[in-house]
Amino acid sequence: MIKRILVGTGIFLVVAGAVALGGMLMVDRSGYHFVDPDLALNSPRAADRLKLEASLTKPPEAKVYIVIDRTHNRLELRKGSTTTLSAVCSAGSGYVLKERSTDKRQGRQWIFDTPRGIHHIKNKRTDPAWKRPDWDYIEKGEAIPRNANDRIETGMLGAYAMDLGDGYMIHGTLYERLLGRGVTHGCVRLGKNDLATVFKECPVGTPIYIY
Amino acid sequence: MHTLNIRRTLTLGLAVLVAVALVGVAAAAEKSAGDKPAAAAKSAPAKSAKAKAKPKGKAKEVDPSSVVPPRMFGGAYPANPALKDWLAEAGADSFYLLLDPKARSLQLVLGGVVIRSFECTEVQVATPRRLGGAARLPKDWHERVWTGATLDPPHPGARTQITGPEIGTGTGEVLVPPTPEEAIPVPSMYRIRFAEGLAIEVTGGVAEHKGVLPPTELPKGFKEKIRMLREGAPDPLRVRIKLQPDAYSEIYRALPPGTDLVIVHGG
Repeated sequence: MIKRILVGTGIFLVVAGAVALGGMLMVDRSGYHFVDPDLALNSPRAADRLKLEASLTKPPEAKVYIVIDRTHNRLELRKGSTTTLSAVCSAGSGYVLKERSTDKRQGRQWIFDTPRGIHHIKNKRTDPAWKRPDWDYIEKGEAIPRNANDRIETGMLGAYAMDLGDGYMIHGTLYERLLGRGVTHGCVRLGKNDLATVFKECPVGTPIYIY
Repeated sequence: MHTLNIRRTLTLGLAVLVAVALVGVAAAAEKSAGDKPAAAAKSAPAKSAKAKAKPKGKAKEVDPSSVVPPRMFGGAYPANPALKDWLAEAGADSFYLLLDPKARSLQLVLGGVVIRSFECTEVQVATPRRLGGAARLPKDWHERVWTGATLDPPHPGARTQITGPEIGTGTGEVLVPPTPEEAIPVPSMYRIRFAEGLAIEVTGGVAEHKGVLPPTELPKGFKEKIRMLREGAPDPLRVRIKLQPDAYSEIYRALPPGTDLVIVHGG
């Protein structure tokens, strides 16, 4: 009798195990039970729902603002919910530049990222001159000049530049063929025509959303 | 006679299994009834909205009803005191995703401004399967903040490092970096995990397999199943969304790390 019980239980366990294993592998690989979310949402009053949604997002800005996708190197100029310009740009490369250490001091390090977050145009310049920072000399293997005036270079930034603070800018480029690639040291480069449009449309104080 | 014996053996075996199952179900029901007051009494102290919870690599907890969020919206619509705090502190200048399952929309918001909108072709919500059904969906799975998004699988992490050449030895060559498509390959399916135990499973990439499961996927599924049996479900709550291929890739490549999530009842 006991033997029969054991054998019978064993047969059922083997069959049930095989069915369960097959089911797990073939039918439900995720191990999760999915349902339509509509069935699972608690229904608030319509007015309450609208109130919540209104608190989570602002209405689109009535004035012009800029949105930059630094990963895909895209810049959009928007007014309200309308996109008035969609441009290919170049954002930061994400590279890390290391200065060679010497006997006297440890080498410095820079990370070339375009900073995410909310920024504003702080200043606008026509025919901007560029004061080359230390990293530009180090990257090119050149000696860093002692005289600050020796760092000034013209024509590198295109016809216009808009300062975002901390040395970051939106400006033009001599390397338009590289637009669409993250090639900069943190600034945002635009092609000649797009730069002119952005410069014309955006006053000082224009918000810039970078993600 | 022989047939009768087999039948009798199988009947006895079945009877034993049914009896064991009944005892098991009764014991589980009793345990569940006993656990309820304890789970309800649990509450986590409200954290500062600025102090983001660190994303955990592997969630050990399985029972969604026991997951108490650090910042809930207070339960009562429209009071939402925690939501107000969060918006005033972190939400004012941080990134968050806004998922509206009813409207099938996913928005990336920065400081209250919608900077990207994506249309979901499908939204589903899920809890881990258990013996005899699925875990109950917690009532507060929407209208609360889920914090600290991390991608699974993560991006290829290492940054390119350059050491400046010796003075006078620079070649003046411009190093051309790869395009985003070259630099960050997108997997056939990925998850966005949040610190409190919710994961968004994103599907819809062009490489997604349809119909018959390809043989290469079988070992993956088997491995995941074994892991789940050993360690429990990795996420107490999952939301599966399906996106257009472009949006699918874009979110994987460009989602800022640490992004928060709010699921709203829109429509």
